[in-house]
Amino acid sequence: MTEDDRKLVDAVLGNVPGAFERLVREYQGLCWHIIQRMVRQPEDTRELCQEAFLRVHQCLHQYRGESALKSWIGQVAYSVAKRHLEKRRIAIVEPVGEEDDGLSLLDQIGDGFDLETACADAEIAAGLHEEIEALPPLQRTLLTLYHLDEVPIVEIARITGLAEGTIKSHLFRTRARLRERLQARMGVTA
Amino acid sequence: MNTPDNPDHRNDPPAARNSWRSLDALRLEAEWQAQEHALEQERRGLPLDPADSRLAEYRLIARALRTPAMEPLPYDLAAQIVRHVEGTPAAGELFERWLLRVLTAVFVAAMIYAIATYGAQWAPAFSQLWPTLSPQSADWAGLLVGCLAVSLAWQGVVRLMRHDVEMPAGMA
Repeated sequence: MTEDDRKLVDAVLGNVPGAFERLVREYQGLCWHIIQRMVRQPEDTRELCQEAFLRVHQCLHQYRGESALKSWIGQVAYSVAKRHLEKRRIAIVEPVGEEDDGLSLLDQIGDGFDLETACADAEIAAGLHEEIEALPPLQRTLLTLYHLDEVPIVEIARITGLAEGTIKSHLFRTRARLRERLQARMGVTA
Repeated sequence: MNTPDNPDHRNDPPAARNSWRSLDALRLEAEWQAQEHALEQERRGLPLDPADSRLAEYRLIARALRTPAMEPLPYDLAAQIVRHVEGTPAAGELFERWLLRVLTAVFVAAMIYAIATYGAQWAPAFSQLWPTLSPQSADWAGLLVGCLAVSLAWQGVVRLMRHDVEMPAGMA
């Protein structure tokens, strides 16, 4: 835990005016990304963000500083979103079949690629966003944390409770699959 | 990266299988490195290299992931969260409220029991305390009670209207 985190936590626990709002402003983006990537519905995201920060407020005295405050708050947001999906019986990860290993994915990827077309084509970019949106909640969240929020794999492991190897495997397979889909779309649009 | 077994080489002799495995591992490792390299280049905003198509494809993916089609963070979210948290009673407060309700219920039950058991003995003593009103003063008393009732009803209506204004539709 950093010195800034310690001061912020002490201020919130000491009921210093404005301290909790400072904490919310600092970490609302991370919570929003995690929860929205998991549940997708904006209204649900808003409610679950409120629930996550309510829990942070109620349980902050239990925070021991063993991990970064960012990871601890991310963990709370992830568990709130995960429970929401479980209640609605929505699978957060799709089962991986035997034929769906990394190598099989690589075998499906070709070499041809028209870079100029792809860069200039807004349809390609929109198609990639569609493919990302269609991913299962867990994969979508892992990619967002890693690429957009730039959270290191070790911190993602703390947030999600998954092993680092599992996270790497998800990242690898998902990006390889996106590459395969990108090529398929290039074939369609070219 | 952990290298998974390639099912195509499961029936090969062990030596051949080991060499296939190392080749597969190298292939997976190269792909992982390309993904990571693309992410790093995209973060640093380096120009795309058209010579490396694999890297370019992963750059496009990394770019899409860094600019997701997500609902933006609502500008008033932090204020809403703070209001929500401050409006939610703490666990101790909830227990206190619950205890107060239980004690009130016990008190009311005891009162009803006491009235039912001893009420008949107390009633004559209370009835003697009531003043005997003349028919004229009873009319005035009725008017007073009527005025009080109208005033209280009006206050109630005003309070209800204020409540509706403060809590817009869907928030109540």
